[in-house]
Amino acid sequence: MVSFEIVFLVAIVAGFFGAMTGLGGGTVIVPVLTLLGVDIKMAIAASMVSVVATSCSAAAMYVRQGLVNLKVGMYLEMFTVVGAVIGASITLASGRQFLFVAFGAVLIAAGISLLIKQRLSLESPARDQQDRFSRWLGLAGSYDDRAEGRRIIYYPTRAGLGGALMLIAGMIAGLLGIGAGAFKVMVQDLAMGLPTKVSTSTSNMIIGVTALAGTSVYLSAGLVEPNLAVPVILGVVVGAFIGTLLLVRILNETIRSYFVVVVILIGVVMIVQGFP
Amino acid sequence: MTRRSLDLNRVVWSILLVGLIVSIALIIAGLIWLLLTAGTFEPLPAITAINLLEFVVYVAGNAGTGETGPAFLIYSGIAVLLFTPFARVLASTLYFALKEHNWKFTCITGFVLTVLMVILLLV
Repeated sequence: MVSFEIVFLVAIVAGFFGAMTGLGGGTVIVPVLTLLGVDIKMAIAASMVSVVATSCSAAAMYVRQGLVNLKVGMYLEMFTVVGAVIGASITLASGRQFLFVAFGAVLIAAGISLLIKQRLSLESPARDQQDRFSRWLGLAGSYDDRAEGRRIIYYPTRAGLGGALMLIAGMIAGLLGIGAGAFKVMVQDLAMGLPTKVSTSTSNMIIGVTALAGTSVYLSAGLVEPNLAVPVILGVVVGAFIGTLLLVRILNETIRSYFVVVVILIGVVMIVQGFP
Repeated sequence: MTRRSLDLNRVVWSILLVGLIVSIALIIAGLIWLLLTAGTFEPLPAITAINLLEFVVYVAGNAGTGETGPAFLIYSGIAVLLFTPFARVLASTLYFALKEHNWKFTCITGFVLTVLMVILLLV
């Protein structure tokens, strides 16, 4: 077993990278722990617990700022919790090679999608473009945009499609012990037409409940090893805090892209590990 | 934003923040206690295959019998952390039902709550 101190330090770096890229600490901590010799299923379980902590921290901040659309989040949670349980159950039944390859493929896909998304400029749907189901749910919302100095009103649409896609995002989260925030944000942006600030912050709230569902499956399977989970929780929270501070103060999108490229390379390493 | 949604924001924010602070404080306090008494961070007793309710009962049981120690504090922190999102969903369901009388979202959050209870208590 790797020592507490080493896991703690690794988790700080993972939390830092996770905040920089917007992919979350789990995407880095799981690959690094496996490189240190930790069993991938135990690494996934420890990561899943830490995702609950980072989600609570980020969601609390965003909710206070009024950026989270609570109704959209709570509606989509219906699908992600079910997906997370299915995903975590698949992990329990899967071979380790499959998990390495799946993790690597998801990291590469998430990284590439982030790089593409940085270059996209999306328009939120107008009121009359909102579909009947989304209107019936009452998902419209608003927030104060400090950069633009005005209040933005938005009308999410295609809630049915969003829910179905969120089931898949929840499965990925439960399967790999990550928040799968990149996918959740993309579903809300591209399928439902939410402004990116709202989808990013709402995604953080959804991640906590999704991770709780996955964690409970791993807990009951005896995969939550406290000597691993505790330093991972603390390290990822500290690293994410440092990363968030730096992100808002000194970094631009170009530097952020370099971090995303590193994550893609980690994905390649994971796939290679899956083919011994 | 309406006054009502602002209230729900405050409820959610308070639960997440208090849950996170209490859980991290308990874990850190337990680790410091462990370091002072044992001189090292390891090893913590393993958590055997149990569901979350059994885990909480185990932690509370130790507190009830006075068998507290560093591991008790650390496990209490993990239990508080895991129950924080659950408490948020529970509070949201109650808010939609009792304050807003919004039955659509009472059902939606109630569904999430039911799924969580099934997994947390029965898996």
